[in-house]
Amino acid sequence: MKTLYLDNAASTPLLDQVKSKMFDVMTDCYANSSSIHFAGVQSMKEVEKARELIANSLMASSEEIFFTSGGTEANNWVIQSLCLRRDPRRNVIVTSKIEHPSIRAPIQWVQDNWGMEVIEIGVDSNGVIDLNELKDALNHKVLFCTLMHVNNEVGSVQPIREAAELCSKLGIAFHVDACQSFLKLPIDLSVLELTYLTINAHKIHGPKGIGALYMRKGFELPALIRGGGHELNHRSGTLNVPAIAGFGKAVEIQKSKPATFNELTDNLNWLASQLQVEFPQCVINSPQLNRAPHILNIRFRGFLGKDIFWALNKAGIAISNSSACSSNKMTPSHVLKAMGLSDEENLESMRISIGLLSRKEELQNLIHKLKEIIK
Amino acid sequence: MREVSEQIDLRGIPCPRNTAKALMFLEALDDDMISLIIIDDGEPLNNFLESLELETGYRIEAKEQQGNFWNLYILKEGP
Repeated sequence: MKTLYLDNAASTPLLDQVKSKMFDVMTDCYANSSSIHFAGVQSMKEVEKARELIANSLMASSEEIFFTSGGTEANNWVIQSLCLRRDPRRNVIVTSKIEHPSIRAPIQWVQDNWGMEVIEIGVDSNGVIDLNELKDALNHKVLFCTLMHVNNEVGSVQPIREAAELCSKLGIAFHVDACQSFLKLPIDLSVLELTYLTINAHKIHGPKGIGALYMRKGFELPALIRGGGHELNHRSGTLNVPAIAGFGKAVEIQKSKPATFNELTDNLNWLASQLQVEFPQCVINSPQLNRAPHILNIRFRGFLGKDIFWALNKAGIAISNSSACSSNKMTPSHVLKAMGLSDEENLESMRISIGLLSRKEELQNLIHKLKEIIK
Repeated sequence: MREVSEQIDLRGIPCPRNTAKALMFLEALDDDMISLIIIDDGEPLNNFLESLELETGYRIEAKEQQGNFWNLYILKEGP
């Protein structure tokens, strides 16, 4: 059965050059990158090359990039490490109602176990936070603010530049989860006044199990994982050199192709317009403007999202009817709820997300199949 | 000695990250360029010099100790 993968916001296929790079490094750079002999240095060089590529893509310095096992670890590191420094006078976390579980869960944990107070900023019907509400929430009691750049379920883009300025004026640490926006939207850390930034590889056609935390110079966090002192004593554990090399290669390929954003946007806009032309019952939950170029959250009035999901699955087409982390649960999405959708509308919804390898012909196939299902 | 074309400061960077960065720095230079590598005294210096010995096409023109670090002036001779 010919298959069609349209769940790129959950994870992406490896690019061929990434696979080759990883295979070469796996084969040739097997030494521990902490070893000081020639073989270890060879492994460390691959790590440093990747680090530089990633840093350059963000207009950061390589000393500000620290590798982790993924976005979830990086998010947990920021939240838990910052809360280690809490004091009763500064124990408030400001976040949004639409964050990823890898932000919500550690925040819930520090709230339950360390007495942190949490303010969740609401979003409008487009899934964008209210900046005035954010401004009102930020004060001397706030320890840090954390916001995602692009929402993983609907693709709404948050005003992180404005949020960073608000936090910076008050001396509040500001963390951005950029896992869905990295290499899809411009991020220039030489002008964006944020303190910490999370990225990962498997959303950008790189391998799973590797991510990075950007920590602005002077704002380094204590380690949560201690041991051999890797990553300048910030995160111990033998480095996954092939995965890091794959991460770097994925960045290198995509930074050399500045047309990526336009291609993705064209394909997604085409899909959105076709859905609205072909299906009068189709409603697009994602914002019409100012949305990520790869995510489209839609619903068909009168049809359960899971029914369409499984019908497409049977036809070899992979989409999502919730965020990937919770796609095995049938609870209404907290993101769509925050945007004002009813439970019924929520359960009608699904997410289609394209990637670099998605072609218009494939999206046409999706439309054809949907015509068979939606009658 | 000729003027230094490029330099890199590796003080405070542990081994072997400092060696890896130094070698990458040297690889990126054009032939016949003199570079300055600033590196911590002790194991960082020794480990880098050991690794440099395995590379071809580089000659240490001068070494200056400056307290607890060293200035290494390295010529990239080319093939």
